[in-house]
Formats: sequence, structure tokens, C-alpha cells
Amino acid sequence: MEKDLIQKRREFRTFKDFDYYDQSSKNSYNLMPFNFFRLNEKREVLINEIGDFILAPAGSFEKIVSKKLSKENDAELYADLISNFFISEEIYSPNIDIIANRYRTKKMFLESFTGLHIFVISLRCEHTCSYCQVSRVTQNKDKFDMNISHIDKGIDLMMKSPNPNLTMEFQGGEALLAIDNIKYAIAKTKELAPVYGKNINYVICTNLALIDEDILQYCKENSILISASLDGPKSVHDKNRNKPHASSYDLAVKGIKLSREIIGKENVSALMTTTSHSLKYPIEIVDEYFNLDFNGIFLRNISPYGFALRTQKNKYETKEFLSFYKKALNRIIQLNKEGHHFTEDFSRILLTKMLTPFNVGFVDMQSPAGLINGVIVFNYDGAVYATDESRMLAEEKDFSFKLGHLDENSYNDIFYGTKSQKISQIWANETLAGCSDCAFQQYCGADPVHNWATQGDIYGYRPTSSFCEKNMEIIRYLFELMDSDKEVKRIFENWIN
Amino acid sequence: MVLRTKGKPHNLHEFAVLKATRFKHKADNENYCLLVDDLKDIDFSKFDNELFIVTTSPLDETSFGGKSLHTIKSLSHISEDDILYIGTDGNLRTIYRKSSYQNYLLLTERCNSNCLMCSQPPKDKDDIQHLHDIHLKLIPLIPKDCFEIGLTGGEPTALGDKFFELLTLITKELPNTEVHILTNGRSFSINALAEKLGEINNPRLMLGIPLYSDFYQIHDYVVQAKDAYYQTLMGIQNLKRYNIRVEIRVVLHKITIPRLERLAEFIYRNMPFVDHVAFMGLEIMGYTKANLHDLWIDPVDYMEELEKSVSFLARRKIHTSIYNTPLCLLPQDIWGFNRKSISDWKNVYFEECNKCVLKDECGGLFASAEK
Amino acid sequence: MAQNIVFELDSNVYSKESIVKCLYWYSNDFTISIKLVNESYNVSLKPFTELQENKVSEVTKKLNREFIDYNLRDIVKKETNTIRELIIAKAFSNGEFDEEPKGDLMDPLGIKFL
Repeated sequence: MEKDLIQKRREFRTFKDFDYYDQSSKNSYNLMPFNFFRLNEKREVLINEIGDFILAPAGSFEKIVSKKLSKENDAELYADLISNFFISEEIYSPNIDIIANRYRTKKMFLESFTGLHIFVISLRCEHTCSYCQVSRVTQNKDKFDMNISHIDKGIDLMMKSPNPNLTMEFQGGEALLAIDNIKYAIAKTKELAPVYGKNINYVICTNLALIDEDILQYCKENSILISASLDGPKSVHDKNRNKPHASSYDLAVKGIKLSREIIGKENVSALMTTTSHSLKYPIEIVDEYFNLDFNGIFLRNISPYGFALRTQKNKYETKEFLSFYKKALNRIIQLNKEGHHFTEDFSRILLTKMLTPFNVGFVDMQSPAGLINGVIVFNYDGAVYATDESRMLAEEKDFSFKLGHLDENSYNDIFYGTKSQKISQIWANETLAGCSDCAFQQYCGADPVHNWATQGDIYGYRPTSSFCEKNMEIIRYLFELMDSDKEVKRIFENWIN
Repeated sequence: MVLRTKGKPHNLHEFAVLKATRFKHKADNENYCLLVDDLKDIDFSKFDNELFIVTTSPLDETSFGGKSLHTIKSLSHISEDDILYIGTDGNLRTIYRKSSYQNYLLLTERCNSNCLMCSQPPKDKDDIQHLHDIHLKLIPLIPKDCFEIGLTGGEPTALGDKFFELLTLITKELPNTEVHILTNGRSFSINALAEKLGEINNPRLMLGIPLYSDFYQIHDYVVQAKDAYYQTLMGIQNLKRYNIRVEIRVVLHKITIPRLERLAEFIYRNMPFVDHVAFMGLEIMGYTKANLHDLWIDPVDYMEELEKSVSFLARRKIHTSIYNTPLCLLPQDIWGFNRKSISDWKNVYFEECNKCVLKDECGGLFASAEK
Repeated sequence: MAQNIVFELDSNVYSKESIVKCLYWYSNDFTISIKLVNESYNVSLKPFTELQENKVSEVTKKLNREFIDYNLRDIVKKETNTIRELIIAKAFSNGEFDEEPKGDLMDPLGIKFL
């Protein structure tokens, strides 16, 4: 016994060399789930099940999958692949529970369910923007303002969401035309929030033409955020957004300045929309935002709904948008290299998914798609829609994504009814043709409404999908930028920390 | 710094754990022993037999009926209210120093790892019961306003059940004290142990767990235990299930430096919930000397990797520190992460340090580094 | 002018799924036919609108590489499908499917943890 113990101790306490701890079995390894994408002729990117990536020389994927990778000769890459769950020396990585936790973290947005509740408080508007998806009616309050009964019912439904953190967003038309109803809605919600244990953010989307000090004081007292529209410099903005008898741009800039003064710079944001006209001015639009002291800009493309599609003005190829996007992004990168902190927000969403273990609650780019489980829309007439775009389709008499009506349907009817169930069959990109084998799956999402509007089918056809074309190219481009320029990678990392 | 000495035992039938005092009125309390080290020709027959006397003077054993440890070389290293272990063999150890911010309790010298650079090499001798008995007596004597105590070894979880018994006692007796436990974390791969630790419900626990690489083979090689990497990671995941605070410790040497940045990235991606990451300079003690050839890298040569790793984590809002490295070696932009961390009993400064304006902020060096 | 782009792919090397997934991306611009003849998939693509000569060789070159790429992806998928399902099952579980601790935790004297 004693001899046994001495032997055991000696063996245990003798130092062994590095090779002793090798657990591989003779020149073979197993694959873990991962994919790859060719960035260009020389480089490719390997991406695992949870979106971690390794930039590698072209041909790496083939070498790894054909089991030609050598632990001895490709030591560094081999170690990277084992540590990051691309390959395994066992049947599967012993770290599989870590991988599962990571996966759960990426899908954490599902846990709380619907957060964003959009109240289209009025359809009336005094602008006539070329790309507006809603009809432009200016006068009839009764017909086009959300009535008190519907506001009450909308708030009730909102309180039923399991999510303790809610955003109540007022849109239009021009929301400020119905400021009294907004005040009513917010007062009512503030009363009910503690009862339901909800923490609520309030946002008013407005073109700022009608903003004044009284309204801003009210916003300050009630912690309301303002989301304004700014398409670019005056020449771009006014061309896109026509206000009869005035310059929309002048009013917007004046409104932004006044809003910042009263409610604080951090509570005022701006959104731009890109039209065919805008496409000619990527640098000018970026510079406009920069010069107006915004922290960043969200380069959005035009959504293919409503008036936008009808006018020739706004039908453009995704390729033109991508060219615009890259020029604008490079301008932004240049500003960052000069020492300014200025972000591009669409890429920031993608970069968060690529460079961090977390996800972003951005309903347009998630799988399962964000409609219903992330956002819901209460229209001025009491109808309930799955997304903002869905109600725009309704203006064109397409009610495919109308989920019900506040006067007729319960929470269950709307959120768990037949339409929702049908949509839920095809809202995960993991299950869609084209997407299911895409290397960028974890960074991208699904958009059934977009598919329906552009292709006539909620499932979607990837080869001609502008959603797919845009996202794939931007993701590829971001990888290429990070791979070729370390400083750009650093800048991107600053954006997401 | 002296922590141990020896004397002649008198009437000691079992070991004692007592607070030290030089004031007679305090020594009347049964938790105290009276230190007598500044008088000559003491007449011990005048002392109450209930007292426990610890003295430098020789004691005429017939004259005093109480318990005593006498003929000790010196007691000048013991301060008022320090807590002492007095063994039946005459060993006198200071096991708690009132003036120190870093009191560590050695729970056992047993360990299931065998790290190449272990500064306190393991002994395969079952010392658990004896040390545990000492600590059960020690904990209630520790001042309630003690800021922090540490539990170390060997591997604390080798105590099995006793580990939880000790922590339960600490939680009861010292509810306001931070408890820093140095463990390899491997045993927490058994979820039931992590759950048990969670049930103790002490929010002041912090487990300091070493992780030496993102690549399993390097970590296992450094700790000299097969599967240690996977066990440690599983342990950390389990601990976090019960919201127990975890600190990851990385010792900087030739084997850990090459993949250091990748380790930082690995920690961020897979354990962004970690409460602290500590990068530690190498202490040339214990096993390190035997393995110096495989371990030694001049700190000057790894400052770039250290800077990149620290900055990477700090930018992502992970609380990061550098220990055991003098400021003069570090790039200035990471000075802010340096902590004065070397246990006071092994901390030195060189002659040159006296000329340095930052001497007070700097952690200095290990005594063992003088070579 | 007949602009058929033709491939003969050994069915022992290329899987049917990978070929179909690859050709999915060309289905908007080409009429596609796939026939299994004597252990080879005979694939033919005929453009809907006539292509310039250099475009034909460009497509051929691209397809040549993509058949291999998709086949490799398919190999990974087939080899890792169960692991993927396991990951997702674990992700949405409450610890019921957690792995057992790997390997040995003992010191030479044998620790009793529980």
C-alpha cells in the first residue's frame, strides 16, 4: 500500500513535457460546424456556428475539410481552430456547453419578446416626400388621427408583452400634428407602467417642422427622445423632402439645434433615407451629419414599399446603393483616421455580431425575424400590423401582414394567430434555401415582409433578393477592410466598445 | 518578515489558537494569550493560572500552573491582536496579522495540479484535518472589521466537505469580509459543488482561477494535469450559473506569452461575465527555479503582448489588473492597471527605487527576485 | 447559338445536395438540368438570354470552383449535423443535457468531493 502511494506520488509529481499532454489521435481530427466565404482571390474567412471568424489564406477551408491540416506543420492555425470550436480532437469539442451558452447569448433577444411598440398616432402630414410610403393627407383629424379608444387598447396590449423593457414610439404622418393625443398616451402609460412592472422608453419621430419650445419642455420633463429626419445637405434633403412653401432642411436643422438645447444632444437622433438622388452624394451626406455634430449616421437604403416603388425616381439597383455605401463608409473611416469618433450604424450592428459575443436588438436583421416577436405596429385606424413596412403595404391595399384589429382581436389572436404561425414557419434564416448554407448566416437575418413586397412570396428567393445582395456584400466588404488594414479593424472595435 | 518561531511548551496537551496581547487586562479573556517579552527576572508565580503566557524568558515550570510557551528567541515580530497558533511541539506561528491587508489561510498543501511555476509546491500528505481544526478556531477570532481574507493552498477544494463547512463559518462570523479563494477551479466541473457553493449565499466570495492559454494543450502542460483546461472552463461556467464571482489569473512566462492575446480574446468572447482578469509577473520560488529554463522570459520582452492583452480587455470594460511587475518595466499607458500586489512579507524595493518618484505607487519586486 | 455550360460530376465525389444548392444561385439566369448517368451527374446550364463569350467562360470558371466549395460545405454539414442539433438542444435547455466532467480530478491521495 505504502509502496503504491510512493509510486503514485512520484509519477504524479514528475514533470512531463508538452507532447505528453497531446490528446490528438494520430494525424486526424474531427470537424465542428463551420462555414467559409471567399473574400477575394487570396483570402477567405472561416466562420463557426456562433459567428466567430478566422481570416485565412485561400484554400484553408479545403485543406481543413479534406483533413490535410497538420498539427505539427500548421501548429498555430491548428491551435486557433481547436480553441475556437472549428475542429475537435474528440467526437465533439469538450467545450460544447460553452458553445451552447454562446449560442443562447446570440439568441437572447428572443427571451423577452416584443419590445418595440409603434403607435401611428396620425396619418396627417404637411410634407410631400418623394419616397413616403404613406399617403399624404393633411386635414381630416377624425379620419386620420388615432382615437382615444384605440390608444387605450394599444396601451393595454403593450402592457401584456412579457418584456419588462418597452419602447413606445410615435410615428406618422407627422406625429407632432397630434401632440395632444401623444400627451394623453404617455400620461396613461406612465400611470400603468409601475403596475405592470415595465420600464418604458418614449420616442417621437418627427420632421421637426412643427417643433417648439413648449413641446420640447414637455419632452424634457417626460424623458422623451426625438428621432428626426435628415437626408443630407440642403440640396439633397429638400429635393427628397418637399415641404410646400418652405425649406424642410432649414426647419429640420433649426429644429435639431433647438431640440438639443432643451432636451440635450444625446436625446436627439436623426435618420436619413436614401433616394436615387441621394446616391450621387455619399460624401456630402456624411459630412453634413459630421458637421452638425452627430456621433454617427445610419446609412439606410430605401424600403421598396408604397410610393417609393411607384415613382421611377426611387427604383434603383442594389449595386448602385452598394457603391454609394462604400464611398460613404470610406469617408467615415477617413474621418476616424483623422481622430474623430464617428460611426456608421448599420455596419456597427453587423460588427457587433461579428466581433462580440452579443447580439443587437435590430428587428430587420435577426433570425427569427423581428416582426411580431420584436416589434408590433398599432395603426391610426386601430388595425394591428407586424411591422412598419406591413402597414405601408396596407396603404397599397395589401393586408397580408395585418394581424388583426384592436376592436376585434385579443393579444393571443394577434400574436399567436394563424398569420403569426404561418410567418413563424419561414422566419428563421437557418431554414431558408440560400441562407441555410450561407457563411454569414449568424450576422444576417430574415425579412419575410421584404420578400413578399419585392418577390411576391414570404419565403423569398435569394438569388434575386436585394436584402440578400446588400447584406452579403456589405459583410464581405467589412471583412475585407478589416483583413487588409489593421487600423480599420481598430476603428471598428472602437465603435462597438 | 518572521512568521514562525519556536519555544518550549509547558502544560500544552492540545494546540491553541489565541490572540496576542501585551496587556494583562486583555489577557484575562480566554481568547487571548499574554506576551511577556520586555522584562527580566519575572516571577511567574504571581500570574493567574488561567492565563496562557507566551514569553521570551525561560520559565521555571514548577512555579506556574497555567499553560505557557517559553524561552522563545524573540517576539518582536508579533503585534498586538495578531492571532497565533501554538503547537504542542512548541511551534509558534502567526496565522493572522492585524495590520496586514492580505491575510491568507493555508487550507492544505495537497493539490491535484502540479504547475511548473508553483511557488508553494504541493505535499502529498494529509494535513487537512489538522489545518481545518486550526481554522475552525481561528475564524471566530478574526476581527469583524477585517476587510479581506484569502483562502489558499495547495488546492482548497481538496478539503471536500470541510471546504463548505469552513465557508459557512466564515459567512456567519465575518459577513462583512471579502473572501478571496485561490483555486484551480477544476472540482467545480462537478456542478453539485458549484451549487453547494452558491447555497452558502455569500456575495463577498471571489474565486481566483488560473487559465494559462486558450489552447488546451498549453494549459494542461503548464498545470501538469491532463484535462485540467476543460475541467477549469466547465468549473467557471458552473460557478457563474450561481452568480459566484470569478477572477481569471494568468502568470506571465515563456509558455503563456506566445498566445497571450489570443487568451484575452478567448476570455472576452466566451466569458465576458468574468469579474476580474489579473496578469501576474513570475515569482522565482518553489518549482519555478527547477523549471526556469522553460519558463524564464525577460519581462522587457513581453511588454508588447501584455499591453495589447490588457488594452483589449480594458476597452471591453472587463476589469483588468497587472500584478507583481514594477512600474519601470511597464509601458506608460498601462500603468493604471498595475496594483501593489506582492504580499508584504515578500515585498522589496531595490536601492535604485529610492530615487524613483513613483516608488509609492509601484508594487516593487519579489524578495526572490533579488537574485 | 448554343451556349450550354456542361459539367460532369462524379457522384462518388460530389453529393446531390451540394450540386443542387450550388445551382440554386444560377436558377434565375439559366435553365438547369441535372441527370444521373452511370455514376456521374450530367449538369447543363442554358442561359435565358444570350451571354457574351467571356461571360460564358467566367461563369464556367466560377461554377467549377463553386461545385467544389459547396461540396466541401456539404461534407462539413453531414459530418456535423448531429453536433449542431446537440448545441441547439443544449442552448435551449436548462442544464438537463450538460456534459459530465471530463477526466480525473484526483491528487495522489484521492480527494473525496461529495
